[in-house]
Amino acid sequence: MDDMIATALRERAEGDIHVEQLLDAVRTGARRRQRRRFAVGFGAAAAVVALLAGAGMAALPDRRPDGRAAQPGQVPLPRPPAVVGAPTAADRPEVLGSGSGLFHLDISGTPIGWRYVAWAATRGFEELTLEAAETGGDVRVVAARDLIWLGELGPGAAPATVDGLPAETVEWGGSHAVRWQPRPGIWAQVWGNGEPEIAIAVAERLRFDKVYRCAVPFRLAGYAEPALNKCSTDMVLDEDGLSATTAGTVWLTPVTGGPEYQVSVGRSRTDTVLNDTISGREVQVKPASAGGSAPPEIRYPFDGRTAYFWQFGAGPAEAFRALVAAFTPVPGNDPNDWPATAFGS
Amino acid sequence: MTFEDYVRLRGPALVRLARLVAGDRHLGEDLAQEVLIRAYPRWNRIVAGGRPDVYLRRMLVNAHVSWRRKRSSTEVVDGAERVERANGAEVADVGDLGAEAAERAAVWRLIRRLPPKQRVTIVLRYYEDLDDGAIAEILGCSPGTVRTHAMRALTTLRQHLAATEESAEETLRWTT
Repeated sequence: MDDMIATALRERAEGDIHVEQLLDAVRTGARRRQRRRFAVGFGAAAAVVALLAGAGMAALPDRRPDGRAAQPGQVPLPRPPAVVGAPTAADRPEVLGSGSGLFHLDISGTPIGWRYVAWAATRGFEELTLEAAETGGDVRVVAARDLIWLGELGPGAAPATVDGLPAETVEWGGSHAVRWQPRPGIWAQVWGNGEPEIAIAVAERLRFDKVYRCAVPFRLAGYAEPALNKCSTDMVLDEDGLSATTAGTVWLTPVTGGPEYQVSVGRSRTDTVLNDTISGREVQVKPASAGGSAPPEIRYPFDGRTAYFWQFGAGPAEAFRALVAAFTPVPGNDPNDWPATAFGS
Repeated sequence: MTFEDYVRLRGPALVRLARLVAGDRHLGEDLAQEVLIRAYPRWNRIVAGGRPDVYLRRMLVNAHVSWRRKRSSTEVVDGAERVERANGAEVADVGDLGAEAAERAAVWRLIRRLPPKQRVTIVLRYYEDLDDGAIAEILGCSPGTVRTHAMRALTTLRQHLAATEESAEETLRWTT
């Protein structure tokens, strides 16, 4: 009996294992979680709000067009700068995730009780993340031309429909995902908390007939456009619920195979303690946490705001510090006036 | 030891264990990957603890048990159906194999149907060759509880195998 059990188990455990593929998948998965944690992770919503609430701008009027005071949570959702005349994903699916720094994904109307909405584009796919009362928390939308960018849906998928189109849903750890093809050549996936109906409701409000551009309130002098991995423009409802602020973030890898950096501008934090100087700028340099759960960080307070720099992956300290020296803030509060790219002089 | 070094050296063993713990090759590979993703950002702390093997195995078992708990009833049904379909395929596959191979396939099917902690106990004892103390550490229970899991699992396996043998002998009598 003992031998039979041991033999049966050995037989079932064997089979090809591709270690390098496993490592790649683990690195990718871990990096994605770090990005979410430090960039648009709603688990750290307070940090996101702190990061963005003071960043520049686009403060909305506190009066509605009819003259009545706006109600908290009823501020119309602002959008990134529109690009008129550019081909939409509805017309030409190949523009989706083309790495052009354009957003081809939107949600119709204003989600009830919205607190945070971010558009992001990277080569391969585009993202829309939002937090609203009507969605019961955070929702992440990914749209791509190729299914490979949407990742594994996991086991136990069940059939569903989105706008009458065939879809599948799956539950994982209390979240529900719905995946479908809104148009030929486009795959989309929505992850939401709570019931699958929430994810489906968001899915049915997505639209692909608008084009916006990524806008960031800074430049990184001396860095080339190809270094850009991802660009994000984020809208955050202010604490009074009467206005919203806009900010931008970029992720870049200046050296192939080297570390990835994230640069964001946001409100100055009271726990910032200046302890170093980079190119005449007083900064706080924070090493990675001992457990590796927080990456190295540099904060540069300026003009009532703070630029945040994070490094993901090992790399020379000089390269990280060089980013701070290259950072040039762009004045003004309107994202329509912000540059479409953080690169160049 | 860096995380990459560890995965290259011990990753395959972890994946094999995950296949057995999950009872399904693909689910096991997903499980191992998920555990490594969670371990990656805290690797320095795990290594500082001195026993990354034990730590990751415990993570793996906890993730599996937690995952099973969290799945909705619909998915459990789907999962069970998937296992049953796999069983059916295996029964057909082993039809032409020798008696020993068929018996090992039957043992595996029974192990897969055991409650999670009993299955993990059997896997750690017979595949990883761990003693009750080491298994207890991974399961987060006492060695006595491990012995109880093992005893119940082995009793179930013996009962089902005996019943299967009787059924086979009965079939043989009627068909010859």
